Amino acid sequence: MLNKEEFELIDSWFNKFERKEILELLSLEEGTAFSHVYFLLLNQFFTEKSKFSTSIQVRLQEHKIELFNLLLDNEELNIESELIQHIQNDADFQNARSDRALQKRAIRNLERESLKIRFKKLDENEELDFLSDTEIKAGIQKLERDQLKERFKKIDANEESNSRKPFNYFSSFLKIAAVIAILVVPYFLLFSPEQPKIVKIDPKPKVNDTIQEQDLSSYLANLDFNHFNEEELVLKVAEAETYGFGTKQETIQCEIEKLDLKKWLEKMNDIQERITTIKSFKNQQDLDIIKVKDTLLAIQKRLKSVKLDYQQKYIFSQKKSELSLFVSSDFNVGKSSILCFSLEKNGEKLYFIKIGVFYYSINDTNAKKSLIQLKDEDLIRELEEIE
Amino acid sequence: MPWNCLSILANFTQMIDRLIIDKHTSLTDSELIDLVKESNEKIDLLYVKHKSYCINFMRKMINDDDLIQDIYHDAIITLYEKIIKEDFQLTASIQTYLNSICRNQILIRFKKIKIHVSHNEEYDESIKDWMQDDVEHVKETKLNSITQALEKIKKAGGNCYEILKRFYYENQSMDKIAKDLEYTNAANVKNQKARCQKKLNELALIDFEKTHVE
Repeated sequence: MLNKEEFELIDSWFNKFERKEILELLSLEEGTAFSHVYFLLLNQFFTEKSKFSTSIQVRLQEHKIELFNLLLDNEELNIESELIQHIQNDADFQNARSDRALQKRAIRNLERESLKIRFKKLDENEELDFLSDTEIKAGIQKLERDQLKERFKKIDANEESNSRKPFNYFSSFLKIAAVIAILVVPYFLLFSPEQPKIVKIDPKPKVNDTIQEQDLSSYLANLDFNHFNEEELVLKVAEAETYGFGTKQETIQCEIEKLDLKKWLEKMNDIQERITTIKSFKNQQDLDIIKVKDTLLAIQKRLKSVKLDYQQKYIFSQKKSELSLFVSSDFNVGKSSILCFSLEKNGEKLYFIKIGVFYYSINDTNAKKSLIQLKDEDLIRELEEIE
Repeated sequence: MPWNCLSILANFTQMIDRLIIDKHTSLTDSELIDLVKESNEKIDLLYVKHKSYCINFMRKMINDDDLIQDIYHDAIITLYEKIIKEDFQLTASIQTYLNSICRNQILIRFKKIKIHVSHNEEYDESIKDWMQDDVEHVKETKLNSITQALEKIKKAGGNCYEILKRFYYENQSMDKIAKDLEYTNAANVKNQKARCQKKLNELALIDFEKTHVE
């Protein structure tokens, strides 16, 4: 709303300019600011006619008509949208012309105004970049590709220089030697002649004598498990007899009238409460031969390096029978308890090792048999076969 | 030592060299692609492994070793740029792919030559990929200014070049860049990228104006 002073200023201003000049001003680009003022004036005129002097009122009325014509005829004229709205609502205008062209003009002007506002914001907030995204990508692409090609050329140059190098006797000799070693050594490893599977202990332990603590242990320590071929390694599940727990020096003697393992075992059961009988391991799975072999190797290492902790040591012998049972120490390798013992009859020795809950025998005569689970009868049969 | 024995020995040791060259040449195609995706350095393995077969394949068609070499270089780059895009799927073996795009390039360049290749399993006619050239759309003078500016940014150190390369050339997301370059989050990478880009713009503009004034 213009105040009185502004009214007087505009009043005087209108007196200075001819109508034609005012209209010309409106048509200029700079007329934006002018038209804005003019709009204010006209707005005031439309709302408070009485505050204007008569002469201004008359002139503004004439201007209105001229303005209508300008709006309709001069598309480039920059007219405030609100002014356009006023004009559209003006009864004189509505009577004089169709407002369709004016509406179109108004819409276009509004669009232009909004675009100009957007451009202005862009100018204020963002600087236009010299490089577009595509150009940046192209630059990086060129750089990377050139660098890759340089690398490839270097690789090609290296390959070519290697092929032209003078023949180096020493490095060639080493290379040839390495190839021969790689090809030949496995052959000898795979096809090495067989070694004896068991090293017999000597001398035989005496009956009723306490086995020297180290005898069987030494035997086992020296037993070369590496000579056991996996296919020929005899792994049988057999029951070892664990004897009663007593002092290290305790010996048990038992009379057996004749070689009768079944009865012998039964008698042992009767006599010895703590003797475990041969069990069958129906539900136990076969062990991996390699794992067993590794375990046996571990036993060997253990024997060599660890002071044996004997829990028990028994000697069983029978005068009448040549069957002798030698039980060595019971010791631990890792989490498994190990019991080593042997059965000897007629000079034939059967060596047994109990690892954890599994029993194994290593026997020359049964060298070709594979891992099987033995029941009582089986073990007996095995032993009988030796006879 | 007789010369023929010497040459036999030389060939034998070269053969051993070839066998020993790099254990990675025994990698499968998918393993090789995974390695290349992890590190740009592994492109060399790709290059070396498939070079002789591809070169020999092209020699059946043309007799210009320099051109063959150039085509092979571009073929490897084409494959590499495909691999670094996350949606890449190899529909044939790497060797077949390389042979196919090399063959296609030769056919384009030598349209009038009748080219016969005896074994169809060496290439796949449907594969017609090649390097996408954004470079062509940029004027050479401006491109030179851009590469000069990029070189300066690279030499200056820091992560600027790496971020721009990963974003524009390898099409990596902000999240992936943040993770690989150990930024806190994608927004930080975005800010850093904007700063790097601004710097690039300034340097490129200076170089461009300088060369134009001169």
